[in-house]
Amino acid sequence: MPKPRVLGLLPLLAVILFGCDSGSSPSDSADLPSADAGRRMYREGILPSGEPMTAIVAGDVPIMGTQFSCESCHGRSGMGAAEGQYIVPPIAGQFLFAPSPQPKRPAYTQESLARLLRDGETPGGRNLGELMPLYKLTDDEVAAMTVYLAGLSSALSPGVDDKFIRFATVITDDVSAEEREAVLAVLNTFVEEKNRNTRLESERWDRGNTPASRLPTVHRDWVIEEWALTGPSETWNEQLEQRYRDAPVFGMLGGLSNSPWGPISNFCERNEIPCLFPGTDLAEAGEDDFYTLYYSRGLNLEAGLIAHHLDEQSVSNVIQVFCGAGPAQAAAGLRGLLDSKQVSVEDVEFDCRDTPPADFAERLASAPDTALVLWLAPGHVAGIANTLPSSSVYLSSTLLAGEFNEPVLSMPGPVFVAHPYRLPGQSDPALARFSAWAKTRGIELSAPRRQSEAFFACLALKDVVAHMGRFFIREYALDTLDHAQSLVAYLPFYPRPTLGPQQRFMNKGGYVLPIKNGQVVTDEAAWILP
Amino acid sequence: MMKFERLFVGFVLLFAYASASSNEHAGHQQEQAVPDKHAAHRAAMQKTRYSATIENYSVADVELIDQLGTSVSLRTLLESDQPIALNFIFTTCTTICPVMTATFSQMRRELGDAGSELRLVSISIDPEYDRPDKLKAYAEQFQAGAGWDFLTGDSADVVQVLKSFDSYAGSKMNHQPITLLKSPDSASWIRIDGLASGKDLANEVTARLLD
Ligand code: HEC
Repeated sequence: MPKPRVLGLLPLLAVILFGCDSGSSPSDSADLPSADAGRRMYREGILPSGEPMTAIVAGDVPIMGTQFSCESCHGRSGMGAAEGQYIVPPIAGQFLFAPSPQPKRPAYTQESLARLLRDGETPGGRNLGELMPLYKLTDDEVAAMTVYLAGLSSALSPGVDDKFIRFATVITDDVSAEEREAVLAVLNTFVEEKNRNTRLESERWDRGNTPASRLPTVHRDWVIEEWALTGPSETWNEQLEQRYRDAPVFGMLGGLSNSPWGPISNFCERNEIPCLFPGTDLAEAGEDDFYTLYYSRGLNLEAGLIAHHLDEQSVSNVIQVFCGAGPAQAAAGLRGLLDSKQVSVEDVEFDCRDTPPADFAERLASAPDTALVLWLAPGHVAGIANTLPSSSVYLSSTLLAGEFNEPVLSMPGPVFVAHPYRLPGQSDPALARFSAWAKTRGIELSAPRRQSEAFFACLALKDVVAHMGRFFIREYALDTLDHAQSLVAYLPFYPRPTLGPQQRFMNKGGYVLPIKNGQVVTDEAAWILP
Repeated sequence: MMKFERLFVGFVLLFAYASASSNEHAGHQQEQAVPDKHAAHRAAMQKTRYSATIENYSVADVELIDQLGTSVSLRTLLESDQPIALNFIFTTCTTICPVMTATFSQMRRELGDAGSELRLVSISIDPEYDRPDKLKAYAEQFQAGAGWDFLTGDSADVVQVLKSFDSYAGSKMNHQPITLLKSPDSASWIRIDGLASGKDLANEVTARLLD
């Protein structure tokens, strides 16, 4: 639950709501309408009565709050946005309830806010453009909105002080030491350089003679620390809470795990912490989740690609072979997708330390309409490749780590690989840019995908921090990213990423590529959006 | 890194606007230029709400899919014997799209029975996210009903469609409000730039397509 950030605002609210100065403000906060009611109106477009808000937009077009709400245009943070030629102004309390020089208007009060929301007239006497809807609201409803807006983005988020902005990168103990070090080298180098480059700027303020140069600097040194999680994932939440209590961070940057990311994203959602671009192939997000942004659904996306491809074959049985938590999750995902299509699914799970069992091969041979899905790493595939009959085989590009080599390619039946990345052989300018960056800094590319992803996360964050200026507010950071579509040009590996409000997975599709005569065939590769 | 930062001029301006309204100056060089730029934006928003021009377009010959997952030849659809009203939207667009979609609804209400022949077509410019299920939910949210197709497709095809209507703005975030009208009796299109009201659109449709 978001914490009510209203209490410190009582004096301000008294002025706005009751028109009296803070000296005679009512001491009892029970007189104030609840910010919760205002939040529901702002975010969901629902009135305290439970009815949708109603409004008129573009002159004569009736709309309902459930179609779009204040948040749709002004952002979760209330910090406004720009879309094409349209500029939506910030309406968080610190802007609204203070005079504005441009366009010129005095501070809003509850009364003038009511006039604006109902009639579109600002306290400066200007009429708003046609995009801002005119709402039907009672005085009580306006009062609830006033309280909510007064508190909205009113305090800087935790994890920032006047010198530092702090980030954590979560790494779980199932990640190899080599991968961990490779990725930390990227993060640490980036952050050190960033701090070195802005150090002069942080020291420059208060030196000049203009009023602007006397304002505190907007620059903060970044601090990035590793939050190492150990043990089973059920204990992660407690470890995260502890780290967060000890030293709160503004957000999480990157991260690494071979286990499902769900517990970490739940932690972020609950504490309202941006979790930017974790290095995981096991993404999990709820329908309305806001705080975690992923590269893609990972193995679940591959499951979707395979299910889509199977749809076009006459297959009525699927056998999936897998070991480990990640592949198990992918297999469960595929089973879910196939269940609804009347395809029967058999799971063959084994211990990752063993070689996969091969006894299913005989069953396959006798059932021609059966396909085999191998959620396996190259070593395990090699272990069974020569025992397979001529059924269709599906492989995971992620688990093969892009190694479409010998044992994999020499199977008797048709072989396909689910590949939610750029086509093999296709140029990848973002990866090339990262590689050049790493090379000049002596960073070895031992985990290129994870390392270049971490580099992208840093670039994205740098841009967001610059854009926030002095307003270090988490929701503003996320609103900013939602509109930062031009960032995607800097994303390696993934071919068609998009960002946008409600979109929590940048890359949404992929290919299913046939492997013929020992070669991945890309000529007729079709982009699938499962 | 410079090149990277330049992409974000739009955001810098927005931030500057935010600072200007709070009467705080962060000391960024860009800020000096801002009030004027913003005034220009505002003027653009407040002058006549739309303009209508006659254009000749050669509609891209692509297959798209509708909100039910049915594939649709765009050319066949648009060159049918029904009058057409077409716009470009995306379901997670925050500012103008929901307004444009609601305006289409209102236009239909204004037209009443007279508009029963009019075919509404909304094409998503974010086809990676807007799959048929997303479009279907969006259509329901706006009570779109029959005779209104929401189309998506392969991103390359959608770009081709946008270009063929001279409506390609590079990024979906630079999206402009454009409505395109076509009568079955004419090969040309009426292009409406700007946020027209439901009544304005209904009047344009009545005068240009139904009379
Ligand atoms: C469809 C997009 C949209 C929605 C929805 C919307 N707004 Fe706005 N709002 C705007 C735009 C655009 C402006 C600026 C208009 C102008 O300056 O001409 C604006 C201006 C405002 C202003 C005036 C700010 C100032 O500095 O004078 C306030 C206050 C405001 N909106 C509050 C709200 C509230 C509260 C809601 C929900 C009940 C809401 N808006 C919903 C687009 C929207």
